[in-house]
Amino acid sequence: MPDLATHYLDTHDLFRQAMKGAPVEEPLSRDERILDDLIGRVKAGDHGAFENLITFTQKRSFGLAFHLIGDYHQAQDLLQEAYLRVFRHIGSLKKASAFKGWMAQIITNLARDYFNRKKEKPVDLQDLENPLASAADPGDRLEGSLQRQEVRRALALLPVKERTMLVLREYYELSYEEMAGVLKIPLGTVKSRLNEARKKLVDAMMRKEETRS
Amino acid sequence: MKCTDVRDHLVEENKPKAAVDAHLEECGDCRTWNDTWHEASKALKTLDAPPLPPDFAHTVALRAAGERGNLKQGAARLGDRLLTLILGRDESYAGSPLSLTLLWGILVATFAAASMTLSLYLTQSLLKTAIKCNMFISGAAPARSILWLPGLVEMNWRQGYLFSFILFFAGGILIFHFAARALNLRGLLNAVRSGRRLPAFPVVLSMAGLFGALLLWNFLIYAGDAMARYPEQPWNFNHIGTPYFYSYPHHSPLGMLLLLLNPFHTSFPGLVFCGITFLLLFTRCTRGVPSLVLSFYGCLGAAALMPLLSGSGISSWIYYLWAMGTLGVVNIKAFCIFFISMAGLAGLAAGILFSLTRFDEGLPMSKRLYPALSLFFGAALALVIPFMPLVTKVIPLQHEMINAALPLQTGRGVKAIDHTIVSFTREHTAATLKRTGKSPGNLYGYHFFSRDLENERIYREMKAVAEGPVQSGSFIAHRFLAARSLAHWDGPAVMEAFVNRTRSCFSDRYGMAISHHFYNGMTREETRKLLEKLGDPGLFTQSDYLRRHLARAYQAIGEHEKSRSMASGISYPANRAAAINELQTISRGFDGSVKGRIKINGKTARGLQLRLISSDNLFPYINHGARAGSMTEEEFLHYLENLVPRESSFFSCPDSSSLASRSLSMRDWNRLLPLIVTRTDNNGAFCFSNLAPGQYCLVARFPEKLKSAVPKNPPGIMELKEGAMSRDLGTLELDTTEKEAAHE
Repeated sequence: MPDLATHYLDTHDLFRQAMKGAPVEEPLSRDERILDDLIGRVKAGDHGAFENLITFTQKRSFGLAFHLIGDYHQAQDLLQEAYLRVFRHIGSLKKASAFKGWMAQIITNLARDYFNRKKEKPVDLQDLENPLASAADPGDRLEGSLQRQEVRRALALLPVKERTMLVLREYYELSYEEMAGVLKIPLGTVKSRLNEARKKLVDAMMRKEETRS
Repeated sequence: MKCTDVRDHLVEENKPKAAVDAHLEECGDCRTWNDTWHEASKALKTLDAPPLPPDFAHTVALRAAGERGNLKQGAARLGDRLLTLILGRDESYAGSPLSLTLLWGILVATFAAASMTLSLYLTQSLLKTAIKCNMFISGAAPARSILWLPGLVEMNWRQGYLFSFILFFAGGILIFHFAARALNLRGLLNAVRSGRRLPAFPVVLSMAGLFGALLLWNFLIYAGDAMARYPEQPWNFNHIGTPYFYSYPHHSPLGMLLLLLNPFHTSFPGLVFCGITFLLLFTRCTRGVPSLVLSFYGCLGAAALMPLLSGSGISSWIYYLWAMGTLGVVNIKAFCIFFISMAGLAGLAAGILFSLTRFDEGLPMSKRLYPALSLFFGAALALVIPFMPLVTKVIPLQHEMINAALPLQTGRGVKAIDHTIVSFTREHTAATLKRTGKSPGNLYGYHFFSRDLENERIYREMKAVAEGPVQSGSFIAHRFLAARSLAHWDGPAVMEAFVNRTRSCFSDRYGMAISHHFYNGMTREETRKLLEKLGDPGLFTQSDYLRRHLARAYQAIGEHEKSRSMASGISYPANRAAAINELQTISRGFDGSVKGRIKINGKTARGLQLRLISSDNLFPYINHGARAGSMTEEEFLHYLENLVPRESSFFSCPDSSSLASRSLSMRDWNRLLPLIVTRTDNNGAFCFSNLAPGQYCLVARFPEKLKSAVPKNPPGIMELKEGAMSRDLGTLELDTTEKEAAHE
């Protein structure tokens, strides 16, 4: 089992490319086939395949959940609930290519429920300094880590709707059409809202820069 | 190019690149902005999250495996599998629907045609059952009944049904109607809230809040209605609601939607219900034409669902059948056949519609059930609607009125109402009631419930008849029955109010007949006999009445042959109009007159009411006209002595002293109503004109203080005949002093 998981993780980048809607190439097809195979086996009742499916997709899905709500433990609970929903309703899923959008929709819906319960309060900046998060992140030791911190801070200050737009588009790399499907809003609204979110993000970062200087 | 345009381009890339580059060269701010965006974009793409615990996947998989045995989960999975099997849906998020617009149209048309055909077929065999089961009962009626409380309590107390009334009121109205409605509303609000991920609703929308609001809403509607229509009696809720039943809005989809849109109707919460359903469907399903059609059916379904869930559906049918005492195997079987057929067809239709619906991924099965249920009832309604026009043709207006009040009736009342619903003849129902030991008086019980409406209708019709040239005895007689039912159900007070209200419509002998019917509580037969004895044609048929009129008129002008022919029924007038024309022509020829002046104790008597009793006017009816004009003077006097009364003064009587001492009761006085009446003017003068040849007797009803008055110069029996058609009586004097002196 670990071998299979490692294999899936190794092909994760390829999976991401496939999800981006890039032109279909041999490796992407292979990745898609893997997902197809896993989904088919889960549908057939293979319990082990479901665990593999989680392992195969969890990293990016957790990233989405984490960046949407900004709380490590809450994001973990949310992802768990999301995978349970996947398990319950995977019978209605036909194509593996739809899995990414479906997953994004479930996570977004759950995140929305979470914010409704919490009456939409912004992400606690203390959470962003969480040693658990930063110490465990190997990326923080890399060159761009400071930049990512800044972006994460600016992102956390955005309203939920705009944060969701940015994360879905820039991080989760959904197409505009996919976003319209996930968020159930018209394509034009997706574009305009995204535009606004981007501007706000840059403005927030620039203001921070000015304050620092 | 402006900075904002350049920044739009940087995130959107929708402007010419050369122009943007040129601007960036010039504008330092935009250059910084550009750099920041690129860095942010890159950082966003490479953002990473802290790692999940290593056993995360295993833990989740274990939890999922734990759910596998769960019944709900199993059902959801089964549902999902079935859906996948049936639907074979495209999972793309491109927004393109199933390209089923054309197919959808065909399917809807087919479905509509099939439902029409099937329902027509079902109508033939099951309509009677449907009527019997009272399937089209109004959902709003129980709500209305809450404000009938005072009248209902009284009625039930009188009938000894108070306990059943309390049971019905508590169970049928409070629990089924309001609680169910509040539950429906609350459930749907919750569904919308969770579906739309809205924050929790405030306390106002809690169960208790909704219940109270519905109660208050209904109360305000009825209170307002009562005050507007009956300002003199706004607290009397018994009359409320009847006008609503004239047009039964549930008879068409449009009517139903209009009803729901009417904020002054108790079904207004249905609008909220439908709106929510529409929202639920439209936002949860693929957008486009199919979604709209689907949502429409969903709305109809919601409208149908609401009264059904609120307890005025099945419970009322069962209650009705039970109360009728006909809740037997046959009824239950017929009901089941009907219900299962409808449910089966509705289920099939809903299945087709549901299978064409694309739900959002991740939407759990339980949430799909709302639209599914709405679809089911929408389809059921679509099947039932074609019945409605047929039903209205079969069932008279009374049925609609009865329907609304039906759940409130018990025992005999329901039995009697059954008569109107299933179109039994009155005799058949009376026989049934007699056989079951019930009073046939209940046959007219329905008038209680439709009292106000019925009174209005009677009033209009009575007025029309009264103002017409000839009145129909049988028609009036029919009205008597309505009035009598009022007396039966509501007692003398309501009856008296009814009489007062319609008094202006009554005249002469019709009023007299009604009086007998009302005040003496006589049966129709008794009244008819009495009136016949009195020579009153009030309850004769119209043709007989006209025939007798003509016979008398011919007799009066000397056309004895024609008179005999008419009186014995050998010949009849061609039709009503011809008879009236003939009567008028004959009457116009009479030129007899009686005039004179009256003084009391030497003073002018002003405003004294005088009547002229005529042998021709009075006697023909005693023996159906056979003795018209043939009474001798002795016979006439004998008649007066025996029949006519006390409390009156007879100017004309030769032996006035013997008659004047007798008093005339109110009833006796009313017997003289049909005679020619006039009043003395300011000079005490009077004049009767257009009199036919015959014998006449002048009568007056004196006020209290003149009761002891004695005519000094009574004119006696006056006979008008050819050559002496006019009589001037001169000054007739009344003296009270003489008697007073004798008394002293």
